[in-house]
Amino acid sequence: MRIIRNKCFGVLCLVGALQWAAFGAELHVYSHRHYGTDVKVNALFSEKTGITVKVVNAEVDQLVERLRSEGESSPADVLIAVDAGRMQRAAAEGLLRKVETETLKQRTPEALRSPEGYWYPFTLRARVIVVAKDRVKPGEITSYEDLAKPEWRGRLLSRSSTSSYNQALLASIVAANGEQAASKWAEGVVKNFARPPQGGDRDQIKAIASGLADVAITNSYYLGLLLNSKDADERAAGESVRIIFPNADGRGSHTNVSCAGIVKHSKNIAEATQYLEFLLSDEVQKLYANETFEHPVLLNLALGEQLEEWGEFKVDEETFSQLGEFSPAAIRIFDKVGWK
Amino acid sequence: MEIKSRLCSGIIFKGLAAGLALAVLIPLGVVVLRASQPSDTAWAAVVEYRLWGYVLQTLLLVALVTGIALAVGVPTAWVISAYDFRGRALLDWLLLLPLAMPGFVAAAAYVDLIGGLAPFFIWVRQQWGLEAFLRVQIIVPWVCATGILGMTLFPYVYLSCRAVFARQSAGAIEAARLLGESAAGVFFRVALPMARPAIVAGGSLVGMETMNDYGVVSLFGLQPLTPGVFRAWGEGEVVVAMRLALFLMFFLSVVLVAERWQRGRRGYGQGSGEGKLARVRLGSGKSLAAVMLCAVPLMFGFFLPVGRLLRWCWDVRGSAELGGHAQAAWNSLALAGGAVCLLLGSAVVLVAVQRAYGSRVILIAQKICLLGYGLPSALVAVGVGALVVFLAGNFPGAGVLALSTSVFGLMLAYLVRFLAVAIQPLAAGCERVPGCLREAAQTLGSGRLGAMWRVDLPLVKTTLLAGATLCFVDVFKELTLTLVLRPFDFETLATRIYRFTDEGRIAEAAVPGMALMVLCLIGLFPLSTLMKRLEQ
Repeated sequence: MRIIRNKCFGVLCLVGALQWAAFGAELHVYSHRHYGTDVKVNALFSEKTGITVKVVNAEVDQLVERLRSEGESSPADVLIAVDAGRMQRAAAEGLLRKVETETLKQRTPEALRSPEGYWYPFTLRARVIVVAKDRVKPGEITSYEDLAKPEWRGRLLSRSSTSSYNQALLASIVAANGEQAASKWAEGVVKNFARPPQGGDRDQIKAIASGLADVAITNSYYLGLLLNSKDADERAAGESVRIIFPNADGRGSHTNVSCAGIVKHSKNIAEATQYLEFLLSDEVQKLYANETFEHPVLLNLALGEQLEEWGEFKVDEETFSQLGEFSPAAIRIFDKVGWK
Repeated sequence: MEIKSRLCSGIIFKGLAAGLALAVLIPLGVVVLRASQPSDTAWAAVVEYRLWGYVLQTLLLVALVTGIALAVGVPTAWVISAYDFRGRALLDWLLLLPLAMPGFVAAAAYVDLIGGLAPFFIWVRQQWGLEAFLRVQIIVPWVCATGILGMTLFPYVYLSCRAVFARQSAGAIEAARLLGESAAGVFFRVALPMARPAIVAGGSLVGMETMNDYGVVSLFGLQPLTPGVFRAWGEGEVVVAMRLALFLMFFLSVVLVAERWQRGRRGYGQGSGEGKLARVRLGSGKSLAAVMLCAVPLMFGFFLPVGRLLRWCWDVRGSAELGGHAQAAWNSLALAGGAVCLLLGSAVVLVAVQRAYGSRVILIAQKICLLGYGLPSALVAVGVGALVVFLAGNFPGAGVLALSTSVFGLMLAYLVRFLAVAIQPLAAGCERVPGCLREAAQTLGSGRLGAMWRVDLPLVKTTLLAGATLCFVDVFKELTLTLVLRPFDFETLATRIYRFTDEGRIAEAAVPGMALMVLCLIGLFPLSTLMKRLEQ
């Protein structure tokens, strides 16, 4: 009996060791991003380094909640979010680990990364305004503040306030103009809606193309995706609008980031650091610029044709570090003004 | 020795039954407990800005959907029961089809409709100005959402009325016809009043399903209580979510109590059971009207969405993410299969074992378990969710992993919600089995459980199967609980369809949508033949 037990134990140990050897070089990524390009990027990383990337996809809030409850036993190495505010909060909660290398520092703008080195951005996502080419003259709208003006009554579109993109935008306005002014702005915007918020950013652009409204708030890459779609109707919808990078003369356009950080209890810190650096390589930056149409983190537009066509824009760096701080205020305002 | 072991097994089963009853009560207990905890400013903000809207929208939604389901379900049941016309037999069967079309799948087929209506909205603006334009755009999503829910849920009313018209009130209807009452008179003065309990029963089922719906209302941007509960839950406002869930519970109880009350107030004779209603043959013009009456809701509730889904399936052929779909389908099947085993096993303990032992404890547990079906999905979801979080907090590390990567919470929630679905057919079946058979088996030396296993259960095989099918279909198309409680990074067909539709990737939602619908249909088919057989 005892011999059998010992043998069983031996076999188990062997199996365990074999598994360890086979899956030793493994990186666990908790990610909010789920585009085809992300899969491609991970495959490329595996090809170059021999490290297998295992991804768990979910909303960032769920991922953070999970990290919190898993504590030291978490298998996660890297956390990827699409909202700096949430990453700031995760860092403040002690869920991330500091990492600083020359590459990470050189390849990211100082204003758009964690000052302590908890996380680094790898794509930029500008929240822009698009207008119907044939119904809105150039120069009629130049800033987010313009959207609340009464002349746009019944002509404006936006998605719902539950979207983190809108929450971050309003948080930036709270940071720039104060809570009272931001509340007034949101009230004006709601009054201008051509319909109750529904659908995603792409749906807003399509609705402008259909003539339903004239102005919409969207992330720039959604327009890129439409303009380069396989579907002719989608391309036509993209062609019918003009992109405006708002507040060019002021604080700049509100820009959020896709960002990655190393999880506090990661057991593969070297591999995770390598992964973060890889995300910032020209090769990956070019992939994003041409496939998801997000802006490269250093704004080297030469990487993507579509981005070159849109041209330079000024990133709102002023309010960036406060997005997390003012996001609860933003949610409060949305509720108050009835932005669905 | 034998007596001792029998006593022992009796205690085990009593314990099991008590455990099941406890499991059903736990979510409600958790919700009540957490809701009574003090809340910070969040609840005050919800009361100030959202609560009134939630309540109003819930009431309006339920009223509209139930109204549509009644307006469709009662006349179709009447026409099919009381008249004979070409295509009647086929329509009788077809009218069950919308049961296989979960609301959120139909919604995927209709959700782009609003975008397609842009020219109409623009025309309204040109004709009647901005205010009308804005108002129409608020109304249209309501029309879509209530229409979809009404057209997919009306078979509940149809089924319950159909049985009454065809059998129970046949004698009275025949008498009214013989006494020269007009066709309309027979319907309004005899059939309709006699079918009232059935109408209310079907209507309250529709009302319940509507209150529990999350998929359709959130896809069309409506904001009744169920999405409100989930929003608060998602934002981490646990106390707010719990309190909103209790509001939902209140409205649901009102519906259920009203249904009970109207049933109990007056005795409705079962009729003398003198047989089926003779169907009046219709002329060609009236036949056409009857066919149209049945075909229009079928069109909107089934064939149109199926047609659109099929077209999208064709469009994405080749490029569909089949791997992901297959994984989701496997997850759905495994979940539903596991849940059916759990539910049936529990139902056998609560019903068949109860009969074998004649235990009062188990009987009480059975009655408690039936209550689970009356709990709102949102309440079960957040109650079980809070329980899992609590357990995870007390068993950190490996315990958390075991809880958050397993389907523990989900299975518990299915158990709570659907145990009644498994119990009821089995209980009905067992009642028909004469007790003397089991007693004879026992006299011949069989044990209590042996008699149950070898006499009772084989005799109720069909109803057991019916219960299993119902549970399977219910779990398979379940969205609300699954969305909240599914393990991390785990998709079922239902959640996948919802996600794709929500992201506007409707064409991609079509493939899993069709798969889900076809599988529900396969489950529904034996059920309807079974029902026909039972009817005969």
